[in-house]
Amino acid sequence: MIDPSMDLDALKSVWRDEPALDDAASLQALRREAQRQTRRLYATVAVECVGTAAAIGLFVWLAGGAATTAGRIAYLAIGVLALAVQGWMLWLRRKVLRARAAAPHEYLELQAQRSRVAMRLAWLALIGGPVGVVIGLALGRWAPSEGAAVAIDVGGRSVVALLVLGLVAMLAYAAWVVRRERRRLAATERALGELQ
Amino acid sequence: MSDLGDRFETLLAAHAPLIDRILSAYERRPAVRAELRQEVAVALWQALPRFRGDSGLNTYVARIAHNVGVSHVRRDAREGPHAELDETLPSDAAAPEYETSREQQRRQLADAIRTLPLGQKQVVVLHLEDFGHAQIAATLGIGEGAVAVRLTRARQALAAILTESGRTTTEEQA
Repeated sequence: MIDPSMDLDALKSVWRDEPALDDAASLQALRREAQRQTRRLYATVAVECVGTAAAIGLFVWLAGGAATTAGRIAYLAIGVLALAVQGWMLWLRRKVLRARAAAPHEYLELQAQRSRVAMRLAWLALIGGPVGVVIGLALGRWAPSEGAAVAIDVGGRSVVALLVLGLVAMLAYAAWVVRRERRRLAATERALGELQ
Repeated sequence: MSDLGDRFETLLAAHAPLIDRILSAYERRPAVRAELRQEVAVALWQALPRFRGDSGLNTYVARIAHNVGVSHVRRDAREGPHAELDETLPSDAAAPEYETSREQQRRQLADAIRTLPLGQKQVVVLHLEDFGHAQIAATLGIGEGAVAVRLTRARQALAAILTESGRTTTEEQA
């Protein structure tokens, strides 16, 4: 048993009795893991960029089929807005993308930052989704585009159902992300408080 | 192998015991600790290209091991308490009756350190690793005054925990 009155300095040799690592991790496996994590992070951003590019393409196509100049400008403006939102998302993520291990409190602050960014993006989807639908419907009525009309004519109800399903899935996912990140943020802030 | 790969291999081999001791302050279960070791190694590998050499390698490695430990504690707090392990499962630790007195002391000390609050735990572990106040401050990103305060508090808390665990063991043996 350890004598409780023992000085911390006297405990150093007891503490350092820990046996050395018996299973040195495979360096190759570690490299693969490190590369996988980096690839996953950038893949997420790449998928978002592809999505934005597709959205911009769609709006340009709709603008091409718009009956009036005002309608054409409105569709192009939404395309520019999509580009701006993607740029804003990248700007929000700039710190997360350049994440590095630093002091514990900085590390926790990074975790908190990650949660805040994820929550902001999820809120953007929660608010932006329905707003986008409203704007889309209003625009469709005010400035009908030949392309959209053709797509709905050809696809019929399945196009509308697909859009509604996509919107509902996106809203459910965003709501789940907000709840998860709120819990994470609370736990991170507790740990940060403990470190102060 | 690249220069970076060589540096990494040397770093990992030289600091393996330090990493394992730091992790033992955060996690008791050997299997989970082995996973954390992997996380530390991955984090070290990712962070090595950014190591500028303005702090010692010990400080750098300890900082990353603590980061992984803190992250583990945070994750554990979020996911709630784990189910107790089946006692019949094989463990790499010696059974208590076969432990030498020295091993018992080491286990008792690690158990006591794990119960300390996070801030005190980090300071004590680094002090036991022979880090000076300035080095501890640099590793944890706090002031030297805060190191001294936490160390004093940790010393008192540790004495109380060891007294209590000694009393419990004596009662069990009686």
